[in-house]
Amino acid sequence: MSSDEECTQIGDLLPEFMAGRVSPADEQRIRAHLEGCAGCRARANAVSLLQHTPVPVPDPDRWECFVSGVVDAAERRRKLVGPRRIWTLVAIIVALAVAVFLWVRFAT
Amino acid sequence: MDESRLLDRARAGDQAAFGELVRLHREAVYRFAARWLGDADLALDVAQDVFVRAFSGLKHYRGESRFRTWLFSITLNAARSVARRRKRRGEVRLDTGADFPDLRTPPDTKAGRAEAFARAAAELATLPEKQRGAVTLRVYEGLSFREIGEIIGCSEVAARVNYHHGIQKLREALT
Repeated sequence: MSSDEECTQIGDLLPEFMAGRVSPADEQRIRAHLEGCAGCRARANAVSLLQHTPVPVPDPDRWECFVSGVVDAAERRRKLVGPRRIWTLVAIIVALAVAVFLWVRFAT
Repeated sequence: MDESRLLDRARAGDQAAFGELVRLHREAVYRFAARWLGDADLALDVAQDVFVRAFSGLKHYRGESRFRTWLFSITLNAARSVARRRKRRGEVRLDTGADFPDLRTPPDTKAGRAEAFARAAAELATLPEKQRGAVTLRVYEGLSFREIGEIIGCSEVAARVNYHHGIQKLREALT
């Protein structure tokens, strides 16, 4: 295996390696490679830094309301575009068209 | 109750089952959006939008991919829309990692780490979209390149290339 291919394979596994989720055999292979490869060590440091970078925890009140807010919004949207609403709209449009037709036909 | 049963019930209009699905996946969706956008407040709005879209699109989810992978696809589309809207409005974030550890806080014992984290978040937010998606989904969520390809809209090979290019750029920027 060429050095580039080895680096690419090690690079694939860095997230799992840094999180301690590789097999003992892979761990040994990756450690041996990192000892001799400065480029991969720098990549491993970048991956580790990213993994440790925290994401802010949402404000507890907003987080608490998140589920109910989503369920309510989804339900509103479902009602808005639900099939019954569409047929109601179609019925109103047809009724208006008939009314206009009758008015034009008989009232003028 | 397992996820597939929750999905069946949510499809049938069971709000409680849908709420349970939201509870199961909200943190992952929020984290992905926050890291991709580099903005925690926007990410919460995006996460809400994602679940509303998911609920109305549940009938289109056929279970060919994991439910979370499908949610990440919706998240990426929603985050892209928000980012484009922000760009059109000319909103420029002066500190791309503003919602992450703040560089402007007075120096203290944690200042060095906070600065490094802020830089990492800011550099991640400046990667091209596909590289950012591939790096985020691989480094934080541990997704396979096949799943990442499905989400960012490219082949497995291209997802891998995007991940490596992204990591390489971050390595150069952060060392």
